Amino acid sequence: MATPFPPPLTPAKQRARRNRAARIARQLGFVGHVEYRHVYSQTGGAQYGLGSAAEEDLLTVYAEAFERDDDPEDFSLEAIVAHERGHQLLARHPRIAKRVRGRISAGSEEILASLLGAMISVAEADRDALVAKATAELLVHEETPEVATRRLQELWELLEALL
Amino acid sequence: MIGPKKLNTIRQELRHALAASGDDPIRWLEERMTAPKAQSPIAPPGDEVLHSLRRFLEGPERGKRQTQRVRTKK
Repeated sequence: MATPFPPPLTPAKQRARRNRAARIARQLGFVGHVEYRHVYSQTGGAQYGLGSAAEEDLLTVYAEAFERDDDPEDFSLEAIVAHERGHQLLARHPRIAKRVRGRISAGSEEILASLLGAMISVAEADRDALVAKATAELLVHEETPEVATRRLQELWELLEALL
Repeated sequence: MIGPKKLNTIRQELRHALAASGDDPIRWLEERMTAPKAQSPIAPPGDEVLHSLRRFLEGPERGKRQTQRVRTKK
C-alpha cells in the first residue's frame, strides 16, 4: 500500500476478486451480500455490516485484503474473511448473540471475532494467525501473558460449546 | 475489522511480551503446556491457544505459504 490508492484493475479482475471473496465467505458460512471495492480502506481489508436480517448483511472486501493475501508475512484473504464471519456469528448466531448482545465493548468484540474466525478457519496457519491476533489485542489491555492465554482458552471453550 | 497490523508485527509483539520475564518465548509456552494444573497458581489453559501460539511464534516460513499452495491446486 505504497500509494494512497490501489493500482488500476480491469473490471474482469475486480469481478474475479469479488467472486473469490464470495466463495471463501460462503465456505465459511457467511450469509448475506458480498461486495468488492477497489479502494483502500481503514479497515485492514474487510468490513462486516449488519443488515435488518442475516440475508441483508454485507461483507465488503477492499483492495488491501488482496495485497495482504499476497504477502507471506501477513493475513491471508481466508483469515480476513473468517474474522468478519466471526463478527456475523457474534451478531447472528442464536446462542452466541444472546450471550454477547449489548454486553461487550468494541475491543472485546474484535477479540471474540478473531477467536470465532480461528475456530471456523480451515487452514491451521489461519487459525494460528487469528489466535495470535486475539492474544496480542488482549495483551494491549495490560493482561499478563499468563492471564491472557488462560482467558482466551476459557473463551475458546465457551464459544466452542455455543457454536 | 481485522485492522492494519501485519502478522509479522503481531509476532514481534508476542515474542516481546512472552520474553518479558526473561524466558525464551517458546520455552515459556512449553512450560505452560506441560505444567500440571495443581502446581500452577493460575490454572494453565488447555491446548488450543498455546499450541496455536507456539506454531505462530515458530516463524513465518511455515503455514501461510502451505495454505496458498493448497489453494492454487484447487
